[in-house]
Amino acid sequence: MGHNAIAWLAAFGLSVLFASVLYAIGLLHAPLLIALVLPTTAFGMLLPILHESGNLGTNFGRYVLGLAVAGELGPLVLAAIVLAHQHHHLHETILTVVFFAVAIGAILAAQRMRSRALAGLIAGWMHDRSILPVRIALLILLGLVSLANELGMELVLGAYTAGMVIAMLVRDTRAEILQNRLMSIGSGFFIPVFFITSGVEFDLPGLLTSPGSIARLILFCAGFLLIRIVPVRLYKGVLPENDLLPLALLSSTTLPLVVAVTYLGVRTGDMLPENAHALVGAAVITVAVFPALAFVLRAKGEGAQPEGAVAIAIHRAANLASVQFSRFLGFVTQKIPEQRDR
Amino acid sequence: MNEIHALFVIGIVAVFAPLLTRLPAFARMRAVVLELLLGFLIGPSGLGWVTMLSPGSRPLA
Repeated sequence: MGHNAIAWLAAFGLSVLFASVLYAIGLLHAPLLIALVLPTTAFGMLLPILHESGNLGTNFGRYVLGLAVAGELGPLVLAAIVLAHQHHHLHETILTVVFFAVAIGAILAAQRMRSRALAGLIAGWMHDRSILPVRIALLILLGLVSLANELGMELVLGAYTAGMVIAMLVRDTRAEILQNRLMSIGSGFFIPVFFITSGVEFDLPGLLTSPGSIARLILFCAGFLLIRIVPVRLYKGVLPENDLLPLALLSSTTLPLVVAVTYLGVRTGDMLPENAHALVGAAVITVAVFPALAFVLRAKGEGAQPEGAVAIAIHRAANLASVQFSRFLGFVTQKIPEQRDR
Repeated sequence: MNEIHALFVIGIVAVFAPLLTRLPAFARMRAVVLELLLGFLIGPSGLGWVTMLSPGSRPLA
């Protein structure tokens, strides 16, 4: 986890730098929010991608998922704090601290309550007609969301805390059936409705017909990847050289958090709508292109040959990216010691 | 179109998106990307089937 936390923090640092440059040239209104969006990773999307490619149980897969966990949790917590208050008054800061104290307390309490007897009780109640554990889980969710609302935090942080409390109680126990039921409710209704309505509100023609918007789209797409390229060097000792660029590409794969944070940013007036649009468009590209490119690069490293016109095209693009990446790293590793010597 | 109809159309898309990912042409596409694209398709910028959103919502544009 040490590697992952440091790599994510390094990516966040580079993201702040990247957003500051865009802010300096007048492209951004709120650089901190953009800096938080860029180092996000779609953990939930990477899981099936790694599973399908047979990388889930490998060393490479473990590092990808570790980095993805940091990329999902870190930005969400920071974004909730940034969006919650402007922190002009001391009491607002105190309320934020109170919420985090309650959240950590609830998670620790759940950890203490976790037992085989409780898991058995929950599993037994799951077969009742009233499905009481689902009702209790929804009550925990509503309670923490209400508390977050009362204390001026973003509701999503309350929902995330509720998820962690319930996972702490039931994960890897007989009561895991509760988690599966809740996932059914989320994946079966709430999650698709959220993404479809986000698509309804998405102004794709506006994004593709304005040169300024296209420039932002390209910039953000490059930003998602660039901030990951340097931090993955931390994995040089534990992963082969060929896996570093694929790791950067996979950890740049993001979408759900980008949609959620940009939605919140526009709603609170902290993000320009054209930036929100361009970020979502760039995130769609990361999901559609980056994982495929990553696996083509890994296959190339292992000496496998691609089949089909599309695979060959991606293979050529990957070759080009690989050469540019090597040049870039050569440049960075040469320049940093020079700067230090001065 | 009222909100119930809008929700019904969204429900249809929610059913069709994962079904489409089972077709060879969309096999490589993630369901979430397809949901966003189909949402765009039924929205005001596309076919205009869903135009009425909740009063609190605000377009990303």
